[in-house]
Amino acid sequence: MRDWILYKEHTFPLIRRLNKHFEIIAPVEGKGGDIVFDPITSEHDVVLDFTNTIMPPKRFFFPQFETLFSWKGKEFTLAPPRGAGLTVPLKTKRRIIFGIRPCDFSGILFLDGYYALAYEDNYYFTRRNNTLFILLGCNEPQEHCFCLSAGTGPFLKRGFDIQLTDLKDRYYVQIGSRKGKELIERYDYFFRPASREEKEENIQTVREAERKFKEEVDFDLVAKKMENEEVPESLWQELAVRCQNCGGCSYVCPTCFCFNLIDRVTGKEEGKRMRTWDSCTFSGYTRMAGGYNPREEKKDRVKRRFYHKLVYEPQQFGMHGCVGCGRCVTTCLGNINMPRVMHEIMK
Amino acid sequence: MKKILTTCTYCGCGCGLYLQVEGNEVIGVTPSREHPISRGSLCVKGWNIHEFIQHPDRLRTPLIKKKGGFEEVSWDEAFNLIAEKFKRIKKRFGPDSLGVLASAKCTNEENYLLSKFTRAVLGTNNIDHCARLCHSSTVVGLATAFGSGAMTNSINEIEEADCILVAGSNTTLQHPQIGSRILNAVEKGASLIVVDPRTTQLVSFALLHLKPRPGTDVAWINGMMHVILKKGLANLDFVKKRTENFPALKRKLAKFTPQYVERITGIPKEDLKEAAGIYARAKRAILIYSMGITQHVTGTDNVLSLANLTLLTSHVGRPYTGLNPLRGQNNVQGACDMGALPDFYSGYQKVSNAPCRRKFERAWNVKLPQNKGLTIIEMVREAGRIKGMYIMGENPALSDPDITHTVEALKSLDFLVVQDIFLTETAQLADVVLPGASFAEKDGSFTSTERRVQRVRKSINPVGEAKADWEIICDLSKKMGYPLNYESPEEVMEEIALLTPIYGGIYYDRLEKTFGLQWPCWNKKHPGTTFLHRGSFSRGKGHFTPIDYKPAKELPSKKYSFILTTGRLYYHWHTGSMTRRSSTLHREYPEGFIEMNLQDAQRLGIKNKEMVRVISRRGKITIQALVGELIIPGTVFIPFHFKEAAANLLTNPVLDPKAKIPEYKVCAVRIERIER
Repeated sequence: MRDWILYKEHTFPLIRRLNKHFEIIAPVEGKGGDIVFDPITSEHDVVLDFTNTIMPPKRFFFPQFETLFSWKGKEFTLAPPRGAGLTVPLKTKRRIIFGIRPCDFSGILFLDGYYALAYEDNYYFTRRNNTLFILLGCNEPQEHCFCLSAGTGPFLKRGFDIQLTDLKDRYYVQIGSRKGKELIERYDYFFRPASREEKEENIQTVREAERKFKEEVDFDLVAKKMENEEVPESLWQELAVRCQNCGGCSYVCPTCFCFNLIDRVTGKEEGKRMRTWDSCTFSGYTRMAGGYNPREEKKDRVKRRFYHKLVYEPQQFGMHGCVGCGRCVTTCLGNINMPRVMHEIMK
Repeated sequence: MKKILTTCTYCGCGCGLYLQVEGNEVIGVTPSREHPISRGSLCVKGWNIHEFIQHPDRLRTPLIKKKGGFEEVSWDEAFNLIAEKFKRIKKRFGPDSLGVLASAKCTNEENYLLSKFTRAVLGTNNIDHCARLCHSSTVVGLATAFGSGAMTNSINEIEEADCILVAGSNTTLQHPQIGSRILNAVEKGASLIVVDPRTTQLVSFALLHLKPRPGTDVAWINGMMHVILKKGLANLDFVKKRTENFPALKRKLAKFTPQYVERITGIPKEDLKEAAGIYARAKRAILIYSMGITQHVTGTDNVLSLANLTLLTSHVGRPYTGLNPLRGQNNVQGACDMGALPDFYSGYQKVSNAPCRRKFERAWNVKLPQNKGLTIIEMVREAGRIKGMYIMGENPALSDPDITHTVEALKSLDFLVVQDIFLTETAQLADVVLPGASFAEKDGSFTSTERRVQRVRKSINPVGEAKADWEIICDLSKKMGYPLNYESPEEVMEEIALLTPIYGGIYYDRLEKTFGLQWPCWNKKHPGTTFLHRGSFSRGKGHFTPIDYKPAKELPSKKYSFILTTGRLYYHWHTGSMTRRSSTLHREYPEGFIEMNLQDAQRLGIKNKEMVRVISRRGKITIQALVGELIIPGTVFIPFHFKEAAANLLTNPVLDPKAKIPEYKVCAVRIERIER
């Protein structure tokens, strides 16, 4: 497919135009100076020179807390999949996530696999199919980034709708899907075809970005050693001692999909069934109704978390359960560090 | 922007977080990464804070008890009844027959207004709050030693210390951000000493773990000082220049030899010597303490002893070096600062001090009472004298010691008003219940344990007909003939700044652009204060108070052979009114337990997870036993969150004579196996 150029001075006008027809979710600056994904009210909200956000945009597809259905007596009513933080009902407008990083988008591709595993999860896919992704590749990896090792960045080769590469005064625009192609065609007056030099510049930019990574790990070697039980139990014990059971590593993880179902009674013979984020580090995650817990010790839960991400998920979904975004490193109160653990295993 | 920046409502760390809102619903949380404390992380309670906010059990309308049951009524009807009853009680029995409990969960502005309402409208100084139950001994002790009862340092300074001594604080669980700072310091090479009868998570990172018998803190602290003096490790130059009353302390310490201390505390003498040496030799020593020190009949003595230790070693008044009481609640520091105390106006200005009183009389345009009011436990214990009570956001029917007595006392009141977000055990006893707003439903400010005053921002409208607590106080005051006219909490803060020197420079426009300001902040140009007592102490010279060891009030006997100590879990908050309604948190610990040592359990024939009966002189409960080696033999632990097995049915209501804090950390119990 042909590649395009978008001049940076045309970016905000483009977003303004898109905002008339789509609900745009983009990196915006919160009151405390934090960059977070949020629906925008104006194109001026959008911040594109950001290091990655505190949380991935996962929650716009899989909200932290949502109602699935409600009941009254014997009547059940399905709750419509809501927008998860949007300003308008989901069905009335299509959504664009503008500026999502390749690692986070890879997380969405991963979730696609899980939420279609047994059956298609209506809540997830209504939101997913209603959304178009405009990726912003990463010229500058951050301290804890290791997406290059995970194969999820700093730029993607396929899977996206549109991917932008920062070429200083312009963006190099790649199309990866029919939805992306249609969007460019509809707004083609914002773009011009990329020249051969620009194509070369894009390749150079990607190479340069790849050279900047400080963190490099070997996912395959780690998985092999774990499968062969070559990892000493003491490693998991050391991690368990540090883990403070906050659940943060799951909450910030672009690929963590686990949820719990709860019932909330709202009146006499009335209530709603809700879904909330869950984490495998909680003891209640595996505890049975009778009180027996197959993973009673925190060590076993921490171990299982790493096995799931690095061994079982690649087997089940054909993708690593870690996209190398480094968020769990930042959020962990006990300084548990995914790449550091992997280095430990690689030794 | 649908993510609203606010301050967490659980512990005193004061994390910055964004609430994610859809429509009028809070559906998620994002930690702030720029915030100096949260730095991109939260504890499990913060991460799940949205779960309680709009729970179906929230109180949505005012309630009046009629014929034994609650009936929904209008705000007008509720206010009319309260105004009428309070006026009648005041007229018949005098203003001091009324008592008020403020709330460490509510904002600074709300606590200030409630203090104003109590003193100016009800006309009494009978106002107190749960700080009495956690750190009143700190306030009294550190005021005596240094002149100011708060953390001397800031949370992030802990990372730079080279020695950290943690006494009676389960820091990773109760102040997770501070626990994380301790871990960072250890990773950078700091020596950690933990003093606790329980083997907490911190112990895994500690160089040394001292396990004193509960209630013997003065002995080990005096013992450390004895060793420090003997080894010549005291900083006598500092002692000479910046302190007073050293000779008296020195005399007192003479008998606290390591052998003598070992007999009292059970701490091996070699360990004590080693700990003393490490602490005294450190260049940047941070001492952290919490309820394990304060909740004793000797709470003030314990705090004074720790202050002595820091003065003797000059480990106070410098960056990365000091004495740091960790305040538990999100705004317990603020509620104290605002004068929700029987003896102080805002900023610790004494009620008994005539110029202070005149200042407030002028500002509030009313004659104010002079005599010191009653403390929490005194109000309840003197229920005969107190006829009417107003309780905002507190749950003494589960949190007081010996709650059987508390419940009887609350029932015997002529009139009880409870303002809360859920129908708590206390609210169930009320004549009128007023639905307040959660932290997500109002504007205001909280002051964290490091004296950081930060904004709380309204994210959604209050549920049902609930109202922000400051609005409720203003409306009620108006009904009682003293209009409190404020447009917003911002206007209340302007009044606070005007009347409270330590908050003199704290205005909303300054809080807007920053993550808060740390008091003392004397004027609008003042940048706030990261650590206290640089150059000189708030009171001038640091004061040594010689302290003798006194045993706990209720020691184990033949009939009650175990020491019970109480506390909290990581997943629950106090009486559980919020956390037990948060599905993620409640699932982790759906019920209470008693933690006991394997030796004791084997002797009594008790197996892990078996139900046992725990009996004290005041009550008995049935509870699951968790058997292990995380607690010393002879001592047992029960968390106080669970009403089904309430630890406070057992605890001893005996008070520290100076601070009036109850001895939650020591009482004698008997444990019985339940025959099947």
